[in-house]
Amino acid sequence: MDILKQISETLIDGDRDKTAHLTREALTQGIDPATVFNDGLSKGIGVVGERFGKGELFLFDLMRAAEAMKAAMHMLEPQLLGQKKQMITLGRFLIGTVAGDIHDIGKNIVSVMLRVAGFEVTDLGVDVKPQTFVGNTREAKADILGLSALMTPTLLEQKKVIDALVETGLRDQVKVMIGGAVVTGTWAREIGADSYAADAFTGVANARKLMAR
Amino acid sequence: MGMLRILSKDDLQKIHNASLQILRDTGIVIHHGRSLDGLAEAGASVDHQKHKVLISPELVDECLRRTPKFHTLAGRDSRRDLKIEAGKTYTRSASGSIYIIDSETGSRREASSIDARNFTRAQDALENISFCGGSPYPFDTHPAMRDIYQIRIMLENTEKHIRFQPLSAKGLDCVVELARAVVGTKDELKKRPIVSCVTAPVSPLVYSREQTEIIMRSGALGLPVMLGSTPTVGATGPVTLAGSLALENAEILAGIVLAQVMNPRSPLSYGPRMPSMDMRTGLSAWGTIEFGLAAAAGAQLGQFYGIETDLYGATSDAKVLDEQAAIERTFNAVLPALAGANVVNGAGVLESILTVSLEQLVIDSEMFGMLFRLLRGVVLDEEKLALDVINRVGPGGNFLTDTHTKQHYVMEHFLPQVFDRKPREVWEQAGGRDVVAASREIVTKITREHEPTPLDKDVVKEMDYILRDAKKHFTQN
Repeated sequence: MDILKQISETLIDGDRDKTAHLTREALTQGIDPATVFNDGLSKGIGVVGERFGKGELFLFDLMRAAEAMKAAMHMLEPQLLGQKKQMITLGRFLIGTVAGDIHDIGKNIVSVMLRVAGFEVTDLGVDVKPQTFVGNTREAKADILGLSALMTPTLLEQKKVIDALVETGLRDQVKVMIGGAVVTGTWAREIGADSYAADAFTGVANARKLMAR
Repeated sequence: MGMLRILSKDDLQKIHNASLQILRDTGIVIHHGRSLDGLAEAGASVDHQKHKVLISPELVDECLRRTPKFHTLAGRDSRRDLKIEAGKTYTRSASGSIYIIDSETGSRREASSIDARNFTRAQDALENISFCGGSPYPFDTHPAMRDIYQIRIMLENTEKHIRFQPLSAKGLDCVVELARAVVGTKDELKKRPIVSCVTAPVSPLVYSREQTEIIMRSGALGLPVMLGSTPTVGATGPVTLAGSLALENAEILAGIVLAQVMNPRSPLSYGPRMPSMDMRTGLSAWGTIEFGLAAAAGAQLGQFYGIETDLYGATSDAKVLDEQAAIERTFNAVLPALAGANVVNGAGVLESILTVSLEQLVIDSEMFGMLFRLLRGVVLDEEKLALDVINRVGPGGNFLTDTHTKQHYVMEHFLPQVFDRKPREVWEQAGGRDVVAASREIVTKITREHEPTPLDKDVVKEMDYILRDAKKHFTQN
């Protein structure tokens, strides 16, 4: 089996160490990093997503595969820098839980589902201040900024981030999606978000829609 | 102890020991400086940098000893007071919902202040809802103040006790002010707490600054606090029920230690909930049978410690009032009730607690009526065995006109208000409605007719001031 196929397989199995190891191998063999990503990792995660959609794999299989991909990306990232354009992704998605909120499980799940769908996802973690969101949006040239909030009071933080983007002149350069179980359409419209989602599936579907615009 | 035992005495001890091990070896993170100091003083091992605390079994024991075994949940009207003690089971609705099923269209929409008012009045009117557990957060109010507005509406629209979820420590302060305005003084509020609150850590094993502060402030005021724990099984708790039981028990024990170290003898309630992550969707499921099993086990654990137990309850993942809603909530209400839970939560709630329905509330009141009857069991005494009656009536006779029948009917038999037992023709003549339609009529009646005793004009004025001040605080920050 050629090495790229092997990488896909170990990724599908959720074998973090093997996938990372094989990725390093592939690079040593002289295979183009972008090709390793597109034909090895991206392909594998695509299969995982398909099988999950069919009900053949569970969420934890998805998450384990995503961890394997993350570990492999560590190997690839330094080599990819010059080749970002050749990576086939749906878009760059920046995500984080807003300031004052430390819930992260929903954010983590949607991040994985986004990666599976083909997005390049950067996770800023929890309790993220508006300035950090803004700074990273600028630096990463994010296509979509995802703001996660689980608690009703922290909804206001989503507004703060959007306001900060307006202030720094970045608002029209990025699409903002707000997420969390308490997020509603009314709130999204009120604060000027481009999209919203109260669950991961809707989040991924809406992210695709945003990129299609 | 209740009629139902999911866990044996040995099992309870096993879980207790497992939780002690978690607290002693894995530890818990508490993002609250003053509490960390207090815990260190009490002998816990504290890492001030990481905010991590290791709690010894001895400290847990001591704090369990300090926890008062019984307390009273007071209502604005003292006839609504509820004494919490072993063997007593009450029911309530949930706090935290944001949507409502529209009574006319049947579709879901965001809940407004008017909905909060109607939902509260309905809880006040319905016989088998023992006290109020919050109503939907009104979306037409400031997001950081929804708890305050919610409670203001509730204080005006019910005379039953109110258990709510503070959105922040400042929110708690404002609600306490509102409650104090109603009863008169802070001392009176301590003597007769007409509100109690619920808190929960972020599983696994992390108490946020706000949640810890809420526990501290409630304790200082003598307000009963329900210490919750809501791991999502498989995601923020172990995928096995036993593991998640040990985890949530550990989280609540940690809460007990926090509360008792900082405010000895503060009244507490034991409130674990165990939704699962559905691994096919990544969503938190509340209508699972595992939820009910864990609720029964949770009820047993709280009794093992001798403190109030508050369990869900009428939970379902159904989005509408259908058979799924009915079946899921009934399993999950009956299980903890039979296991001896003091409070069964969830009246009127659907869609894993996101959505309320007035019609569901009416139906749940009926269900709780059946539940209360179930808990009274089969009474066996001479009167009930009725041997003399059987003898009197004799072979071939009938019992209809015997005095015994007249004497005992109402006590022995629950009479539903909403569930229909009419013969088909009569039922058809009366409209041929299903129970949801029948509930809708009751909702209309309550909304139109039910009037709780209004608050004094002075109290209302004071509440206006309190809200105005609160608004200043929240809009400035």
